[in-house]
Amino acid sequence: MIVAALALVALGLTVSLLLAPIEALGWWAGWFGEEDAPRQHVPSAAEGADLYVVYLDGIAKAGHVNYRDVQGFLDRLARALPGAAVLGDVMPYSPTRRDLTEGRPLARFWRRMLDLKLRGRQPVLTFTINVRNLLQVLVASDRRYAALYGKAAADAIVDALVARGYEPRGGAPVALVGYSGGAQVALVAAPYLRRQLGAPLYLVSLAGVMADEPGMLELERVLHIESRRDRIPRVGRLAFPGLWGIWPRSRFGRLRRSGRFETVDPGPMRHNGPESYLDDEAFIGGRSHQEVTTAIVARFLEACAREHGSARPGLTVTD
Amino acid sequence: MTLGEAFREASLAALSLSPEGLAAVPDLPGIGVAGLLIVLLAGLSEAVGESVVLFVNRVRPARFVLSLLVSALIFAFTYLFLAGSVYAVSRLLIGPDLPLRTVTVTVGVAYAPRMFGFLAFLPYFGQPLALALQGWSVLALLVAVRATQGASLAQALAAVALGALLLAVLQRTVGRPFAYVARRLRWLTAGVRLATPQEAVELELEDVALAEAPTPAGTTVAPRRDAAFEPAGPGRTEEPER
Repeated sequence: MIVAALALVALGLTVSLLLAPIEALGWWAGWFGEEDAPRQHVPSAAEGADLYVVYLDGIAKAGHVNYRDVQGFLDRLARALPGAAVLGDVMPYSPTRRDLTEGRPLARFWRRMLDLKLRGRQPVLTFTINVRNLLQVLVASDRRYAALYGKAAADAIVDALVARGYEPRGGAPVALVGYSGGAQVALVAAPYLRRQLGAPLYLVSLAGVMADEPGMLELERVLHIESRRDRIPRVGRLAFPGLWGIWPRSRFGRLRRSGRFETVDPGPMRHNGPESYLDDEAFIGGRSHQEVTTAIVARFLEACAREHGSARPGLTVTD
Repeated sequence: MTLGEAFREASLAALSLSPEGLAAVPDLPGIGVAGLLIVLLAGLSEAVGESVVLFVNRVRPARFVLSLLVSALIFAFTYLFLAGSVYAVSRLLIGPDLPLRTVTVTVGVAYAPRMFGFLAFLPYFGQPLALALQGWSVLALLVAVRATQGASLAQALAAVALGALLLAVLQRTVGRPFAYVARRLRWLTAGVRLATPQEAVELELEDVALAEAPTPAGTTVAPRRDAAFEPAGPGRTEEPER
């Protein structure tokens, strides 16, 4: 019975893995029709910001709407960096930019899973959202599919930026904040973002799980935030041999030697859920995890903007 | 024994690396056709595993299927060269009386693990799995050579290694025209010059840049989309051969 159940799970995973690249390949081949027209530029307070921050959420993300802790972090970051525009509505795990809950054959299933997840019920079952998105991270980390995935992600990010008033080739720096698997998506998008935006690119890897990617060499600076209590990034480093530190010519090795990679331990935090990096109800030294994480990210981004010479008096850390 | 039974017996013997099973393979009724079927299925399966290149080049569905079939045939042709190489080396190392049929059948049956080559399509795990399947296939060939030719382990290792080496030398010398024709055949079947994913994205970016760049007359250049099959020009890397 147990063997049969395990065999069924293995078969299900293999089939899911075989189907995982289809969205990126179908997007490229145009199977899903013309992609949505780029969002129109809506004049906003972000017009002419000193720095544009694009947040790419972790693998629990189901659509453009953010979870409460994520939105709390983004709001706090926006308050900490008043001169910056903070964007958090890019879906990193869908090359076609579709929510899991809309316009898909399994949309009903994902709606149900999201509903259960938001109510904190059936955690094992709702983990299927994470598994589904994890498979997309694997697609993004496979060099055969990474170019297509990266191009799709870059297009989505560029459109989101333009909609918020970003002017490509205007020189304003862009910072990507990738949480967990979002860091991998940021890395595969980086080479195309550099070409499409013509601007300096920074990366904050928030407990990021990353492969050794050419995109690492496109970044001005990288900040990697990782708690000693969080095992997931360590598992990620094991899974991607390019990060083992034994290949001197690896992109990761070259990035580290260039001095553009720094690591910060924010204190004891979990990868996700309660006591995670974004938890506003767990505390270290009188400050919530979310406050600590926001302060680290904001300080780094402020330094990036200052380094680029675009910081106005408004772009100061206030948190 | 039906063809299906011969196919199953031979495949299971190769997959389980069973010396007894593989020793009996050349005597199975209908094994010639079954062996060829294994090779063709392995070729088709590996073509499916490597079909990302067809997706990337936006090959139309009918041409897509045709491309898979052509790849399977090219794969089978390569098998004939490998069987010939192993046969030539085996005659030198093991004995001059070795029947050609025994070698061609055992080499073909040893391709059985590669019938799972479609798994190469899996993201992240696919390429290591494909490598493991090839290793499994080599092991099956080693066991088969030992079991059917009464060779020692050293002789079997030498026969397989030198056979593969001979094939590699042939591919890089007299086999070059064949490789050229095979590549052209793939492009012709696909209807486009097959680019790698990186090349395809780069070409698209170049097209967009060209389309956006104003010409001296103030007009814009139409993007080059999916150019029909054309000879490779300078600076355009050709798809690496299998």
